[in-house]
Amino acid sequence: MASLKTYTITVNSKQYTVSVTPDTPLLWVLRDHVGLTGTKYGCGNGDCGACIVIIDDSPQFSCLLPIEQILTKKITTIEGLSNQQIHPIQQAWIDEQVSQCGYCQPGQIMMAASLFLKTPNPSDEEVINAMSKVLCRCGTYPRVEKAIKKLTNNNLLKND
Amino acid sequence: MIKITRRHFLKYTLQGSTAFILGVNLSQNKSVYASQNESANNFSPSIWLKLDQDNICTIIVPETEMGQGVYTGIATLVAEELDLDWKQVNVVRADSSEIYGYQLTGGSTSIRNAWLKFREAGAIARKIFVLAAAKKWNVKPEKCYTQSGAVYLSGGSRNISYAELISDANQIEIPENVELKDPKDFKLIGKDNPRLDDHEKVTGQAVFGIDVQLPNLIIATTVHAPVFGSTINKIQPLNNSDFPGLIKIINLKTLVAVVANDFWTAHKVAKSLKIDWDIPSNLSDDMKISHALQQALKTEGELAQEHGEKLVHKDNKSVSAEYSVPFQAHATMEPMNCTVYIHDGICEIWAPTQSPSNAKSTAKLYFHTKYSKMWKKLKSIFSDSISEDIIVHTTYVGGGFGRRLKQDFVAEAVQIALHFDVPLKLIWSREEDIQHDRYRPIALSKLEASLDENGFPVSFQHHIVSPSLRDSLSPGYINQKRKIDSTAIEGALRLPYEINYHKLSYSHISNKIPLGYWRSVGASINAYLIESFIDELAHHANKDPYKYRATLLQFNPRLLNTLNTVKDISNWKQNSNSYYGIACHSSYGSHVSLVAEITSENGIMTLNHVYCAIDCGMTLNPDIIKAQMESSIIFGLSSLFHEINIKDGRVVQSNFHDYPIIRYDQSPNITCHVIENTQEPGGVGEAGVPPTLPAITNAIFAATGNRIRKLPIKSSLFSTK
Ligand code: FES
Ligand code: FES
Repeated sequence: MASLKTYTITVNSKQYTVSVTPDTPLLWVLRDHVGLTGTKYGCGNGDCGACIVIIDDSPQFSCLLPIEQILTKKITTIEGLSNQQIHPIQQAWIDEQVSQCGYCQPGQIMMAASLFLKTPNPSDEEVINAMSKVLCRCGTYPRVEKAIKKLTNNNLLKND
Repeated sequence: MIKITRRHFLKYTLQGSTAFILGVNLSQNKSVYASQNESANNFSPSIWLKLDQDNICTIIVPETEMGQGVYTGIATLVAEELDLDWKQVNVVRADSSEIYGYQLTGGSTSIRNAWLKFREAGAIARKIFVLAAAKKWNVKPEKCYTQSGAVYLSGGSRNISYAELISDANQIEIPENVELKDPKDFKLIGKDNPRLDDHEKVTGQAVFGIDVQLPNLIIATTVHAPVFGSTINKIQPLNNSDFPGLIKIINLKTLVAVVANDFWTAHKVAKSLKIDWDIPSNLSDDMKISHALQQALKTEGELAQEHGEKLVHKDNKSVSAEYSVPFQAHATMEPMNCTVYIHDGICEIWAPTQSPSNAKSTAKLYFHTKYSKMWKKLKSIFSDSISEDIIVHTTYVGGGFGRRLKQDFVAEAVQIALHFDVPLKLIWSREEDIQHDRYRPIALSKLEASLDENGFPVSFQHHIVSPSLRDSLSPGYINQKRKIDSTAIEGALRLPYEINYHKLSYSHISNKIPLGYWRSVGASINAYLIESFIDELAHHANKDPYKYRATLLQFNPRLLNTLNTVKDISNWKQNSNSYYGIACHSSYGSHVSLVAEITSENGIMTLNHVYCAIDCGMTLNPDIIKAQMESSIIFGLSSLFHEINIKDGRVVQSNFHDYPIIRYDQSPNITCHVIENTQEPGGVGEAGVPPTLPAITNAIFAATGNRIRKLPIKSSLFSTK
């Protein structure tokens, strides 16, 4: 018999205590219990990337991660990407007018952010591998590409 | 100088108001009259302009923003005429209140229907501020001009912001005549003003339907009968203690609703439920449907169009071909969802819908049935005003493409919410979303042409066969008197080309698969096959497909202009390693030509580049037009590779693994040229879709000699980046 358990997780440097079943994916913990809805549901299968968050510096499909597996981790969502100022990636997204319906964009931006966390100058191949994990039905790919190229060429994002 | 009919406008002074408010009625044929002495109840403006103390103009728009940039477009029209700076405008989505009239965003109509009215509204407001300032300064209005949300006195001695003029402006009557700007004076129209919804969308703050949060919110998900037309016989009981957080399982005859304290629990229960369905006999499948299409193609069909004289010479070469396209799903990234809170005799709805008005009438069916007694009593007391007991708040929409014109998700959410006195959010799983869409119809077409001695067509005959979309949405649409579905012949009714004889016929087949509007509707099908077939004719005539089209488009200057433009920007056939395909189509008041450029190595093709030229009349915001073309091209390309199949009466596909929409690494380079124009604006959300497939399949023909007459094709024929 399953039962509800109480967990404390750290999201965007804040602690949240929730009461859920152990198999509950981080996506639904964030959306339905923590109240952070920037992270989106698209497929629940790891196929669309709408749910990508950054966990300890790497991009993860939050729809596939049961809460039990991330208890001690540092979780960053789209809401936590920028503190006061807008993040350079978000600014590049605005500069290139990437968003259309906007639904996939938190996933796109978190994927791009994790890429630049690894390297300030990702290769074409690295960009393609990463960004092909995030679907966009509105077809914003050409602009995602432009925004990332801009960030790469201008070296706007340096590892600190 | 254009004359404004005053009944389309209303200046509305709220008691003790510190704002300036102007209402605009967008419907031309409503016999409403309003003057400033009348109350808003007698008049139904579709949009409101509100200028506040902080000199920000808020435009309340009755249109749904689903990525097409409608908020930005409308704001541009108003701000241009009102002489506001871009940072002085703000857009708010109207709720479903009757004062905004009938609301539906679809068919690329938002800007086309209302562009003049929005400009007029801005111009009227501007003139009122000018008159107010002139009166205040005791000068002639001609001595005043406006700029950046303020009125200036010529010579620069004085200026005053609109905000400071609010109380004076509220004393001024709506002017009889206003002048719209000369296009050469445009400061905002035709410029790439950044989208107004952008910041919210990149920071995760934008609220889509699925993001609605309310105190004590509970979550529902639905399990629809997998086989269309089934009903529930029995739901096997569950051990509820296995699912803490489960609140209720509700039998809604053709579907089951699972309600829980979060989506994960509801979804888990939905997947574990054992449901016995009463399944109808004679289940549909791809084979049967295709057989029915083939049989119908053998008939004469209903005549939809015939013009010109059939002067076919016996030496004329005749060419014929059959083309078929599959069912398609919308697969919007945000799955269907709707939040409903029934409280205080009111049904309050938050929905990502393309039509709050239809959402409201749908909700009425269930809400008023439940409360029928109370409803009748209330209605007898309050008569008209009672329709406002249903309120629809339209959220941002995570992709529409026509899917959210159907309000099935609203109907379900209301039915479920009637069981609870707390707010409830219904979320469909992706699987339910793919398997219970309203699909773009499958279709089969036969095309026949006779070519004269120069290889140009003297006759063009087209027979379309498909299940009827409109009959699926309103059963009985196809009847003894009406045998043609207007959406099925969309894009085929008038050929852009000069051809002596044209005949179009249509046959409908009956089918139970639910159908709906899919981005560019009938044109998504017909442009593909007509433009492919024209390419076949050019090939038979041994002529260059661009030149062949250009010759036939002599009397169609706007489309021809896009064709010539795209030929130039694509360096048509200049690169000897590349293969080129071209296609053109006019729809929704816009004209679009595309060139696809493909290379091929060891039997694997690469779609390098798609070039696009569009003439959509007035270029309100060139960058948004380009974005919509990119979007349409990728949407169209996607449909080259995926399809919805039917087996045993149900949809085979269920998620993105088997309905694989295009990914980043499959997306080509796109170059788009927007032809500058000040004519009436055309739609841009859909017009790029129709010519996309044929441009690509014509390029495939150039590369391989294979004519693609049946979609989809395998994506493995193409390389990824
Ligand atoms: S929702 Fe997680 S990958 Fe689609
Ligand atoms: S912007 Fe709409 S799904 Fe990507």
